[in-house]
Amino acid sequence: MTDSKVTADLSALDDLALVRSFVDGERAAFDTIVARHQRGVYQVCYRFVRNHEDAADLAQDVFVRAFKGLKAFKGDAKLSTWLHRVAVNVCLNRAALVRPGIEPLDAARHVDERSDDAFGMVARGERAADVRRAIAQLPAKQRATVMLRVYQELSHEEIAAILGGTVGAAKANFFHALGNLKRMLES
Amino acid sequence: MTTPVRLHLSEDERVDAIEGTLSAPRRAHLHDCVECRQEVAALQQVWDGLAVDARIDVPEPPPVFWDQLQARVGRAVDTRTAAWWSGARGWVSLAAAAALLLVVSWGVVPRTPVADVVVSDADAVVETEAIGDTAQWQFVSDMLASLEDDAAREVLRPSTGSFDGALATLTASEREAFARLLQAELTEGSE
Repeated sequence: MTDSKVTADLSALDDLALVRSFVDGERAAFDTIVARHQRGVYQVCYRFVRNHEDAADLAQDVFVRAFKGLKAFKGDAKLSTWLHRVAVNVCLNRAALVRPGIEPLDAARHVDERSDDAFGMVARGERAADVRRAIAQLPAKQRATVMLRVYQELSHEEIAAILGGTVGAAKANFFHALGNLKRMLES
Repeated sequence: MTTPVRLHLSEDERVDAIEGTLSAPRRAHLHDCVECRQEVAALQQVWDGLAVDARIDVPEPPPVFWDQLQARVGRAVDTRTAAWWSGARGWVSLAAAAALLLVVSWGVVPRTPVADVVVSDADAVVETEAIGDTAQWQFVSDMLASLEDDAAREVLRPSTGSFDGALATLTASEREAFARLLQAELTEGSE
């Protein structure tokens, strides 16, 4: 079978079948997993570090860890959730090393084009940049909670599964994160 | 006595309130309680600010980036896999050497007085103190030293080209260098 035929066949598989194929020794299945999920993983990483270079490095680390850890993936959660969990752990572990960057002005003002008027657009963009700067100052676990809840739109149950702990603890983390953000934004 | 419904909203419930999942009885409390309403309104403002930011997409890298990232991941995985195999081969070699020395120790050396041999042949005594004196190393160095015994050498004379053959034909300085390499491997492996 040709490489392109193998790739096409693998692309037709769902995530769980790809993982099984990879665990059975089909290396190309892992490449397909990377191709399918790299954008989501990169975006999770980018939300943490706010710069392209570090996000790319982190995304690479995430997949290297996934390569070693996929044998343990049982399919209880979606593969994307599992990869997000790996990504968050990688980002949290690197939090001490990688300081979230302050985005250039253009990026800070990179706002939703659907906004109604120019002034409102800029104001919202600046407000969003303030929010991001404040998020960057949060303790790591609160920051992770905000990232997962607001940007990845995960439920508190999913966040608890990723970060460890109970749903109540995840909610409490989120509550304290909002409180801290409020204080920072007011100052 | 205050009923539970009259209690202020807990942290969880305030989160539920801004996310629109608060239960009906607690919504009623929120409606009646100025303090809780102010608390929730303040959190709601932050939530709204986050929602605005969440609508802003992560800047999209150039299209070529995705191929590059996939290639980087492939290279990183290959490098680590190769490193793992290299390490595994090293340990297999080390285990083979240790097994050989074990055979020498238990099968042959007891027939010759090891202590006498080591003491009488100064050239064969490896400088363990200069290298370190872990139990592992002591074991290996003792075995190497015992190979100096002519009787043992005669009994153990290996076939040409084999690992143990090469080991037995080492000079004292070569043996010492080999010993240092083994010691380095053992030290590294035990860390």
